[in-house]
Amino acid sequence: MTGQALQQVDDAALPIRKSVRRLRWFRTSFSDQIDKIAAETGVAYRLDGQKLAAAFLDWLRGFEAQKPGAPQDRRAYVGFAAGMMLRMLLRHRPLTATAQPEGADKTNPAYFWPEGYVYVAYCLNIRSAVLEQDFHEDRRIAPAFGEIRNWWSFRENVSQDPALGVAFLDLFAGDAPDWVTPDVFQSRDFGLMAPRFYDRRTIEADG
Amino acid sequence: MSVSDILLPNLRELTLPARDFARGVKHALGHSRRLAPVRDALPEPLRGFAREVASEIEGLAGVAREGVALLQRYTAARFGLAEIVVCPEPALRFAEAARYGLEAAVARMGRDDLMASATVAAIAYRTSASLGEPGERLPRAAARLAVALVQHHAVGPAPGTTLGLGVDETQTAMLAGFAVMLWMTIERDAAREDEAGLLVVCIDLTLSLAGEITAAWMDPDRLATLMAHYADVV
Repeated sequence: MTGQALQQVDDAALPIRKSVRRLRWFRTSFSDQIDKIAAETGVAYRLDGQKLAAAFLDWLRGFEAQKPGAPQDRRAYVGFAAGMMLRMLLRHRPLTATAQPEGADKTNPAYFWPEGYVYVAYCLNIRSAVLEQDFHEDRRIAPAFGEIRNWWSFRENVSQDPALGVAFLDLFAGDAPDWVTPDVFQSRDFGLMAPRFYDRRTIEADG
Repeated sequence: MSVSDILLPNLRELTLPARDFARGVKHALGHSRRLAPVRDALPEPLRGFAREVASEIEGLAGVAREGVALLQRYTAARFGLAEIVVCPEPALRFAEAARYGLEAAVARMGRDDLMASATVAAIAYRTSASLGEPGERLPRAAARLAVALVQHHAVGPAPGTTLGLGVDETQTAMLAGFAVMLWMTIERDAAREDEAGLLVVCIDLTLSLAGEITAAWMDPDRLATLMAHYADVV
């Protein structure tokens, strides 16, 4: 079911990396995601358009503020930007699940946390679509996405600090999460500069 | 623009007050709690007469609703300010679009008790100087029109007057005015856009920016900057 929920979000008018920075496209694609997951799971949702707009604006401001200039950072920034989107959705909480099917299996993430499931699915979907379109990467989600223990941890942690959503999205996407400063973009330039300042063993030990 | 251009509406615009009147009476009958005891206290012949009048008005309002439906079928460019300012009857087209948008905005803000007037919107358009003049940037004109709509009380308990206008109503009118002008300012792809959906997006965005917009209201440059920036965002 999780894979089926992650349908491609595409609109041929503009590249997705540009379309997603327009509120009208963001809203339409997010609503489509809700509809698809609602159809698959039987969960009913109510969307607060004002909160969604606020989440979008906060995301856009953050996106512009940390946007890197170096071309080698573009790929990494796609993942980071998707994580920041998840962070803002978790912060503003525009979605409310109003009904679930009787006897829904709560070990399934879609029923354990229906709102969080939509937020994550949408952000993974956008991330995958941009990586596929701009970097010709195959779509993928990590096994971690389907493991309910990760969702217990995810829900508990982001309720205290939505910024951790950035790290959890990396985990669900199969990338290495940054649990310490998840909402600060780390340029690849830093990795290139590091040998000038640190001993190689220090860098390797740091991971 | 001569003085007579500003003060005298064209003949087609004269239909606007009639439509406003019909909608206003229906609105009052439907929404005014104060009128309810009066209606109930009427002796039967008069109550029957009131019902008949209400029925007639319902018919007129139906015509107005058809007008709205027709608006929704127009091409997207119909609602774009860039198209409106250069069309043959700009005040009329602006008034229809503004009234539709303002009422959608106040309804989304939970203020069904407020009305919008196409007549007053037309007056606001006609009295807003330098519209459509060469070289003026669209967001600046839109920002000024938003202020004009509020200054002329195009939306309120009794549009065109200050009756029943408190702080809350004025704040609601400001946000509705900004939302509608934002909607008219954004770029459109006539073949693809859902106008009602676009309007909702503009209203929701405006509501999430309420503090920023009201703080900039008295500063035309700042309001125009906000209009331009958020039109790009939408």
